[in-house]
Amino acid sequence: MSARFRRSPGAVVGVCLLLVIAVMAAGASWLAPESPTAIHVQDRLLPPLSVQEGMRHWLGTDALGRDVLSRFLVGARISLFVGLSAVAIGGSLGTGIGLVSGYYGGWLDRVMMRLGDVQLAFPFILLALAVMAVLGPGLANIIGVLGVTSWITYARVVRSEVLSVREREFVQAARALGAATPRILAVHAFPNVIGTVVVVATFSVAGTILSEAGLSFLGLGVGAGTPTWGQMLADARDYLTNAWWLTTFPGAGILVTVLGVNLIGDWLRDYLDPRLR
Amino acid sequence: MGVFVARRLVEAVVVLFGVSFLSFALLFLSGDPTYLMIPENYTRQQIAEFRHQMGFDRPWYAQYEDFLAHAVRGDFGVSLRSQLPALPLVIERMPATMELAVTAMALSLAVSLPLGVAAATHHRSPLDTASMVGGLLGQSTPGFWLGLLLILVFGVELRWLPVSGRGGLTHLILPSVTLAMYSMGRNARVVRASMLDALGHDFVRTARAKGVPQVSVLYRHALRNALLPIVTLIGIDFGVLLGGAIITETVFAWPGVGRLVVNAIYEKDFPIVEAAVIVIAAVFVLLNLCVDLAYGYLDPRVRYG
Repeated sequence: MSARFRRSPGAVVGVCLLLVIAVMAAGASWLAPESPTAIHVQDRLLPPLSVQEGMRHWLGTDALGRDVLSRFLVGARISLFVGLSAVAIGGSLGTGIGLVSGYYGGWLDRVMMRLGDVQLAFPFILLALAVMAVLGPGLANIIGVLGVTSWITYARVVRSEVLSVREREFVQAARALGAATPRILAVHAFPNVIGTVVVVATFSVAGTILSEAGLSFLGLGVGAGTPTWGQMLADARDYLTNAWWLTTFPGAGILVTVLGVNLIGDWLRDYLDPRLR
Repeated sequence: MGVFVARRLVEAVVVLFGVSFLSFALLFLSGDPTYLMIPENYTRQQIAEFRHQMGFDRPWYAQYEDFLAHAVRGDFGVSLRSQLPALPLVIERMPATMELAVTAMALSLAVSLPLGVAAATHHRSPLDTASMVGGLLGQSTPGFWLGLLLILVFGVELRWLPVSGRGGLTHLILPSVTLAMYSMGRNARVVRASMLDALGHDFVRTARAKGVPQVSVLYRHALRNALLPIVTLIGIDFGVLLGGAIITETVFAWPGVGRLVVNAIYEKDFPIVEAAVIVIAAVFVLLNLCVDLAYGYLDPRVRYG
């Protein structure tokens, strides 16, 4: 694994990018020069590297005089947190449904897959937008919505894998030996689909981070009080012409994170599951 | 074939039925719209009368039945803000959204097809690497950020292009580039993978051995066989584009369905949200039906069973 890893420049770059973001996210509390919500109206819209009251604003300040670097760091934390937890929810939910649905088949399978069809008939962001409009902004709400609505992607992939695994000799043998269904699913079917799930989940982290940023940009994400990259971009719109730093940094943060995740996803796919492309 | 079309049509109707239920459920759960519709000085008595008159005091299944009965006749109620029928308001915005989505789709294909083919034929060359890095970047860039940057560069600094509203061709450039970027990147990568796969087949070697010109080998022999995954992607892409249009339209003040629905959500104008969700879903379902039918034309090996 490590030799193949080193031979793939994309994967190395991806891991490096993500490490930088992860360190920033994990150390946000220590690295941030000040509170991301501290307002200094007299220091508003300072360009990057300005020094004010003995404090250097490396990435400048926003329209309320808040330190952009501090907000950027907290934004990194929220982006990663939302991306990872939503994928954990969607991945386990979808994998579970896919395993059961594919193994048992029958009416359960038909109902679940039809339900998935209905959900996929919505452009994803429209569905998320409509649910967020009902629930209202909030960290738990956005994680729940992005997590639950992604189940079908996993369920479909896992189900089709299970359909073929189910007929293989080792599963037939396990069944003939009297293994209970939960055991067959956990010990025989699951290990055969986990590679695929990991690959789908990795790309899904990238998609989720983009969706969260988009929803926050529209004001239907984590909520106005919390500094997220999407929220920062929404705030920056009014100062597009006179404060380039407000637009540039949060967007670059999203780009770097998503790019890192996608690079790792590409490598994982080649490594774990060459059939997926 | 006839049976297949009929079955897919029935499926599409079932899906739309589900969509109607889902969008009704969402808005039902969002609460009683009474307080959005009445003047503030109503007495409790008047409020009760109003709810009864509008039918908001009935159980959900009665309200859904009513909603469905009206919806199949194209009646989604009136906008709570403008008091105009909701469906015509949505339909009227549809051309603007379709214009944007179709342009973005055309742009995406016009760039990604040749780029993907070139990357595949020059496998492991600098061109291949560059286009794949570019594709990955396109796939990783948040559309609304790209839109803001394009506004900053081409609208504010260079003053070459208009940055908001709908008008001539020049108004279309920035929003469609913004919207197309994601699918451009992804499609280029898929075309390349699909072409690499097709180029490895024996029939390509045979064609080359016969002395078929390179252009013909690529575009008539290999690309035609590589098209199937791309056609699938086009169907999915359209959903992504319609969804992405919601955000892109907000950035560029493009008067389409996306902007309408976002504003309706802000204003809690539920009939509009409901009508827009169902119209967009209907377009999407129909489009995917067409994609399924196109399979048989592109690849006779696909059986309609």
